[in-house]
Amino acid sequence: MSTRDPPDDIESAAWEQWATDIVDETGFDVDLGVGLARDAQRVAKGEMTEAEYQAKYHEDVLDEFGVDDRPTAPEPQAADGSPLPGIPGTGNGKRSRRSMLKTAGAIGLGTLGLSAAQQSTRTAAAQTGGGGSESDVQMGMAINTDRCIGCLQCMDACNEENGNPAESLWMAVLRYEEDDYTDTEEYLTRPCQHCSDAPCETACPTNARYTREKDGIVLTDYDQCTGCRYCEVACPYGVNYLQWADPGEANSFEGDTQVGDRTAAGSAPQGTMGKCTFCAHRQDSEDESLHGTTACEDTCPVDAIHFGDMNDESSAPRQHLANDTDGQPTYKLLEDKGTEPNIVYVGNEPSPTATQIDGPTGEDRFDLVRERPGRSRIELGSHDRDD
Amino acid sequence: MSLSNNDLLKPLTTISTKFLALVAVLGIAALVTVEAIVHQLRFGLVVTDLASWGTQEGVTWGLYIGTFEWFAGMAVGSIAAVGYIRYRELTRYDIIARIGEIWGLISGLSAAYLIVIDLGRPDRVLNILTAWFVTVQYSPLAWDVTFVTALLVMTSTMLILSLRRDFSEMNLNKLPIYTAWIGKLLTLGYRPEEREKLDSMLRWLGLALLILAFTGGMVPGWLLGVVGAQAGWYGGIAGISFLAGGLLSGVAAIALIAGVLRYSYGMESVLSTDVFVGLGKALTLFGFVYVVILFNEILPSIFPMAPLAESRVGEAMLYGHFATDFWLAMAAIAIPVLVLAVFRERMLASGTGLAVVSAVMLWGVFVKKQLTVIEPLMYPSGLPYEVGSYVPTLVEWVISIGAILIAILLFVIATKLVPLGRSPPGTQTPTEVKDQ
Ligand code: SF4
Ligand code: SF4
Repeated sequence: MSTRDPPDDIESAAWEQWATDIVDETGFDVDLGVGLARDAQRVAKGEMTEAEYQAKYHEDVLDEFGVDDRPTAPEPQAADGSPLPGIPGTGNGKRSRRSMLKTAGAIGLGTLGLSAAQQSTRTAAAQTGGGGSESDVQMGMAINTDRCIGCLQCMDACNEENGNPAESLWMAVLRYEEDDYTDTEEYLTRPCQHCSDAPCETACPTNARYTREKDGIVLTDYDQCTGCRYCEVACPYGVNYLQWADPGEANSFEGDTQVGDRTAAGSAPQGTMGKCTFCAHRQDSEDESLHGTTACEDTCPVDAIHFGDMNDESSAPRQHLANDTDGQPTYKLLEDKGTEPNIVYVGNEPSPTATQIDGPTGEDRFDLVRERPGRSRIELGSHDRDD
Repeated sequence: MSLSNNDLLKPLTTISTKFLALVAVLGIAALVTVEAIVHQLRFGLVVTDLASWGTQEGVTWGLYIGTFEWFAGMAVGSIAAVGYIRYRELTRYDIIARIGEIWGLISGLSAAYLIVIDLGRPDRVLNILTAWFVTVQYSPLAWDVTFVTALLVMTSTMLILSLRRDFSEMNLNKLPIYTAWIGKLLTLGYRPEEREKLDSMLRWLGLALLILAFTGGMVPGWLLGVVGAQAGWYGGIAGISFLAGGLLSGVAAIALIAGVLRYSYGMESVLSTDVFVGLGKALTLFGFVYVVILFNEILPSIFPMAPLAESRVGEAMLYGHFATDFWLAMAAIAIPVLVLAVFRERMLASGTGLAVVSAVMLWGVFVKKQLTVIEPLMYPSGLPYEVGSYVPTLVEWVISIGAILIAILLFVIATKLVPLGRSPPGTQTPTEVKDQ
């Protein structure tokens, strides 16, 4: 679909039809999408300023998506008073706003060098065989913890998307405080780091933990895993969750668990190891609008999570790092462990003495829990007690 | 000749009520253990108190892996002792070698099945073998499986070959029917000309066991020692530390068994005092070395210049959460070492004293192994996670302690099936024995 060449003239009926077809696939407001796309072309040609573009659709975009996080937005949207956190109508199985914006971007924003557009362009290039070797792709994220408001919506979205039981927090937002007399609360949005030199993989005695060639995502073959948990002790980030109990109803993943020739998407069956898959089922979905998206990224109300190919300068994470860090420091978590993580953080790095605090939102808000079923309730502050 | 032979064969030829009572008690314990295992197989690892480290604030490896490490250590120590005795042809220690062969084999098997019990999907244990050709290139757990397999194969070969030799010297008709049957099977096609070759095979197999113990025997230590993510595990001394603990616990187990056998069967003639003196010397040395290595492992972490993550683990061990367990374990090893060093002759005269001391040391090593496994997982470093908690459930205790009782049951049964050695050729006449 995306390989179809667009007609040159954005005013022509042919262009209109072409754009309508593409936006239609995303299931969002067609008029809005086509308008966005057409004006984006105008911005590219210099017929319209970014500010005008931003202003013209702001209300409509807010209505449709609850938040306007177009790349031309001047600043994080919390500033404009939209109800954060807890935006209704996003995530949770609905087609994401981002996928539509990405489609609009694919149609029109490309020349602005904006993330989503390039993401789709790259996909198209790869499909037509023009995108270099497959293994050049390394999916990853830029996570702006400076933007994070600790609303835990990504955690909820992740569990919904992957059908995880309440205690398997593949995405976890750690709320912590530094012992530096500033009393500032910080948040660390922590999915699996999809390390390029993943110790979990080296540990695995069954070859169940693997990095797939295609895009460098680290996955667990649920048919192969014996549940020995050596990957879990080898990972310095604590992102692995064994499925301790029979998940029963809790395992509600409805997507395709098949990733290539291995069973590795969605929640882990009992006795096997689960962890963030970078929504592998989305990346392999027949629905191209889901490619290059994750549930957490889609749902984040402050656009803190940017997912894409770390080797592609024009990808969402790379663009975020290039343009939107607002002078904040960037870092990779525990880089000295030599794991070569593929998540780049923007914001302050937690120090080794940071201690957890409750934060503005608790897991219970989303029926998520920290403790494994059958184990006693967890209370914060154990570090303090013990030190 | 006949007296010492009789002494040697006493366990085979007698069955006392006490013995039957012991078997009954151990048998019931085994049944309870099997019931607990079945329970866990049905409901999965959720019946344990294990949980993921990180947000679940749990400990992902616990009692099963700790007990595995303990058994693996005893297996290493046992085969090292067997290897040394067979290689050096210390005939006086023949019974010790046999005990070591049987206990090494049982320990290896116990270690192996504890690993399987710890799996989330025990039905898939074969995946570890089918993936072996790839994973052995990098996964320490695959090395571990390789090592335990090699240990089992080599130890059973040693047991079979040494039994073949011992049976060939015996009058099978004087043995209980089932033992005679085993003897017939093991001496199948035996010709006296083969004796020389058999002796030299045992010698070289002994050397091979010794080498396996001192090389591959470090692998269960590396299983933890190569994990860079866990402060308290990572480090160059893990293999050595495991080996030292293994030598100590292996020899202690053998000494304990020997002491009990001597006591219950009055085997003074074949288990002479100097054998116990020898074992006592070995225990003194290994215990001392183990304690020195442990303190080398732990002490640097509490110096002010140590990295934070290491010091958290070290402090919890030395004066924090785990201090009581840790110091009790240390005392259980260090005090016997002192006692052995000071009161050696008097204590060891009967073998009973040595057995008591050995049991205490074994308990100390057991506790230390548990702490080694649990602690780094409980004190995560790097990210702002909470300190974890772990209170093993009844199921975990039953299965772990049950594994020990089952191992003892297997050994007790083995003493009724196979001879514990052969009479030292030409060394002990009835009069000499009486003189001792
Ligand atoms: S973060 Fe942990 S689980 Fe994820 S790839 Fe790295 S080592 Fe493996
Ligand atoms: S738990 Fe599964 S994925 Fe992890 S190391 Fe063991 S077999 Fe491999």
